[in-house]
Amino acid sequence: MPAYYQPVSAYLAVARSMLQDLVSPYRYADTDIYLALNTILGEVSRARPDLFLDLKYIRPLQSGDLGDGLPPQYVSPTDDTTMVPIPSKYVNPVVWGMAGWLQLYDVADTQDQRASAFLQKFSTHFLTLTLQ
Amino acid sequence: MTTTNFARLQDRARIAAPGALDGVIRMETYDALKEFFGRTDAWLFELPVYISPTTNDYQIETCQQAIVQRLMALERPLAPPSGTQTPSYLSMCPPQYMPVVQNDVQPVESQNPLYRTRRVGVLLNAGSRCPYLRIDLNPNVNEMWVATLSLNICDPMDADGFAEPPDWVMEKWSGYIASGVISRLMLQPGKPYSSLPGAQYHGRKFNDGVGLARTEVRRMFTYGSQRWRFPSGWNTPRPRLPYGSTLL
Repeated sequence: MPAYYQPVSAYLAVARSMLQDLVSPYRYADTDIYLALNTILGEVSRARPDLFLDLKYIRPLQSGDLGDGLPPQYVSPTDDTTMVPIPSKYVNPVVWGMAGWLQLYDVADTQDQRASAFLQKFSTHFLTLTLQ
Repeated sequence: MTTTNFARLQDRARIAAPGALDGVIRMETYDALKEFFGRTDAWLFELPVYISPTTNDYQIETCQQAIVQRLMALERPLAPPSGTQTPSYLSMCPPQYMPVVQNDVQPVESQNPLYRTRRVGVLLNAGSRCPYLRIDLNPNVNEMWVATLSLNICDPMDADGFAEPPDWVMEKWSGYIASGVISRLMLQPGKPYSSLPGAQYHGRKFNDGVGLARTEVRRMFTYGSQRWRFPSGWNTPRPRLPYGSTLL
């Protein structure tokens, strides 16, 4: 396999680490983090549809293969072990996007500057050739 | 099958377009190869066609993972090539041998060139894997003609998601084909590897390769061969008639 993929639980764990929310009871509920993941995957599919068409062209394209690259949607907690079809080289920006999106929430630790920094890293990493 | 040439091509694309995904590289490789073969006719295939007096339409089956895009020539050799000797590709201008002795299957056409049947046909649905060849004039005997076909890649790919062109094509023009892939990758908007100047540079290189390949194939890979051919008066399939004679 030319790329490695991570399960949903890995995205949750790294996102919690970025949000400094590793100790229970959590500030951000699992359902919120799932919502962030689904939202960010929707954004990614708009800007980088090729990420969701990658697997389609690695396997031999068969007659009737009509996969249109729609981003998957995940539900807590049944999808914890489901693999997210984002290649490993683009996992980090997805997590940054999730962290930025969550920090825009109106909760006690909200830091708009930190949220915008995450979202900035998210977009520049997907669209430009940068190392961050 | 992932050949070394495909591995090299993919590595070139990964380096020249950092961040490009393997599936996307394979998708663009398919398109670049499709354009390359479509413009160069570099993938030639000689196929025996068994002509029958009863029909003018023959379904062509190349048994290749490819579509037939053009009919390049329709010839008649002295004897049908055996299954093991049929060239897999590369026409080498088959000579116009004619039988000089009458037998059950071949008339004595060579004794009287006025009776020669013009070997002309068209593909009714070029672009499919098994197109129909319709010949213009039927010789009204059982004959074996040889159709020289230009092939192009088609779906489905192999198990690794790659097309299956002749490996010698990838060996010979891999650099130019890689430039075609990189050019297409760089033309994609909003990617880390998007670059209009890079796309233009590699696009020019790809076009250079297409021109080079097309010329080499037309000269059948001979160095310094003549550009011109004999005028049609000497080259026509219809024989020149003596002064005053008429066709039947």
